[in-house]
Amino acid sequence: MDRKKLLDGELTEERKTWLKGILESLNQNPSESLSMDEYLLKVLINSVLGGDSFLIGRVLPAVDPSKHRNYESICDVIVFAAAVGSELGDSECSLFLGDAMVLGHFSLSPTLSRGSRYWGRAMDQGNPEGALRFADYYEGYCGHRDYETALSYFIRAVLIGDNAEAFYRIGDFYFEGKVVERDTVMAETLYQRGYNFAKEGSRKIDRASAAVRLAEVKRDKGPIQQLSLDALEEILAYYTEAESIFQDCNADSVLYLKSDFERCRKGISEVEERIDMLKGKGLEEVD
Amino acid sequence: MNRVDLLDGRMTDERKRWLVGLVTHESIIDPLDIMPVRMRYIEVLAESVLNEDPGLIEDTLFADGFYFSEGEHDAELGDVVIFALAVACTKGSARCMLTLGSFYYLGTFGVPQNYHNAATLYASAMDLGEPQAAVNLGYVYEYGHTGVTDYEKAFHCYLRAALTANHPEGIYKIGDFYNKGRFVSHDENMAMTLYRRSYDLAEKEQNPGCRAQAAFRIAEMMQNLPLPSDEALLSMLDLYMEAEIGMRREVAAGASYYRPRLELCVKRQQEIRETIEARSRDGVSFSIFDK
Repeated sequence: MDRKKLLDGELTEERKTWLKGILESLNQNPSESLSMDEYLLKVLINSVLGGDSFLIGRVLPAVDPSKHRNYESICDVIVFAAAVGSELGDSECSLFLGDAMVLGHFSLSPTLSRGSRYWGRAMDQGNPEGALRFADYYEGYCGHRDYETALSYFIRAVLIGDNAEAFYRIGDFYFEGKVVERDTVMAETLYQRGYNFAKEGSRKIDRASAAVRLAEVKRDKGPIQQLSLDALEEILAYYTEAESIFQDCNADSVLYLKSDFERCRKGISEVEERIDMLKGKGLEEVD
Repeated sequence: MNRVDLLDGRMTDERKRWLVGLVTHESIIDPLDIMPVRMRYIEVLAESVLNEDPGLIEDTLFADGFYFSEGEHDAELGDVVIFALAVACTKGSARCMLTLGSFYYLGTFGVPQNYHNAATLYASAMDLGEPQAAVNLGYVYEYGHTGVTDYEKAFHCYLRAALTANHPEGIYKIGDFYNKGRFVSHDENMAMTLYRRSYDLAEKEQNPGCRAQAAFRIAEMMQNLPLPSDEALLSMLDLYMEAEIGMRREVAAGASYYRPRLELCVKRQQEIRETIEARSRDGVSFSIFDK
């Protein structure tokens, strides 16, 4: 199959026959002996043939072509499935395909311009992650830096759908006075919203990143020597929560989390030292 | 009492004597049992103002079943309400700042219309975290009520309301900016996404006024479909009807500026009904264009 042509997402008779052929080869094994990878591939192909874009979007990330003998053929299936799902309106499929094209996964030639069109489609289909991809790009993760445009995409992400990461990253702009006027009250509100949404959602790492920021914005209210014991303990609680999550996620080995983890560790050290000093002196409140 | 003077919120000796007089006022026996309730309300409100406690003033002013709105036609009650609001504003009540700001904006409740004062109160309330104040300040900037139209400031006000509180009105106003390409780049997809989000949020919050406005906007955008399907036409009819009901309520409550939009809702419904009837007569169905 010509992988580039598969990107049109059209379920032609030829392609149906091709997919059914792969299914048949899987079905030749009795179902008890199907491996999990083969089972997932079967589910993916059936969802494509059945036009179930929701299921395509949920199964896609779980299918690993390296677990199959015919790697290139499975890459074709994955790319086609994503394209079909995207055409049918599933934003997870659009996002998946956009990432694949930008990063050059599944033996695709990396292309930012074509891949980002799928990010844009994901955004139009109501997925805030599409906007976040653009925001990351303009914030300099791919070398290009345009903070104003980055902020506009973070804002889109939040407006489209209460995205925890977008909340705290907009908060960063207000905290640092980047593009907008510095406003630590607004920053704290946004960090708190990001933290609250992350608590309800499934991305613990967002909770950790929001918690570090909450700790820092509360620290920013004055020199550490002037913060009360209660305030210090609240700040420490946020740092400690973040540290625990970062440790669980091996944040040290993840580039974009390393900086937050370092801030967290440094913060814990400084705040603990201050608390110990206050408790050692027997002081509960500082004027 | 001169109501305009009371707007300064200063607790002078004269005003204290006036409030004390209200607190100790004998209840009037009234067969319909209305007056004692009114007098009791004035007594409680006057007492809260004497205490200069913004929380107590708020609780009294905004309690369920209160006489607040009656103050527009009741001089004595209106004076106490205005003074209560003004005092609470000096003590940092965001909600009272918002309310008094609205009186200045609309020129109601015996308060002379003054957009600058309205903007000042809205800004203070916004800084204290009141999202509706941010939206209202946005209107001041968007319509240039203080002399200069400033879409950037308006956008940031609406954005603040949306970011800090998921405020449905703030969200559909941002949608308007994307729809018209004001301050942000023209993006109809984004506008529609925001209108739908506002509609869903307003439904969750049981805010029929906002839902009506969002419904109107969604329906107006759907008007741009080149050949709307039968299903789309019925959806539009549903939305315009919802918008009409919401706007009738707003107009009845005094928001006469919604009358032109209300009339447009009625007109659009008529047009849609005629289109549906024509298709039915001609035996034409546009389901294949349904998206």
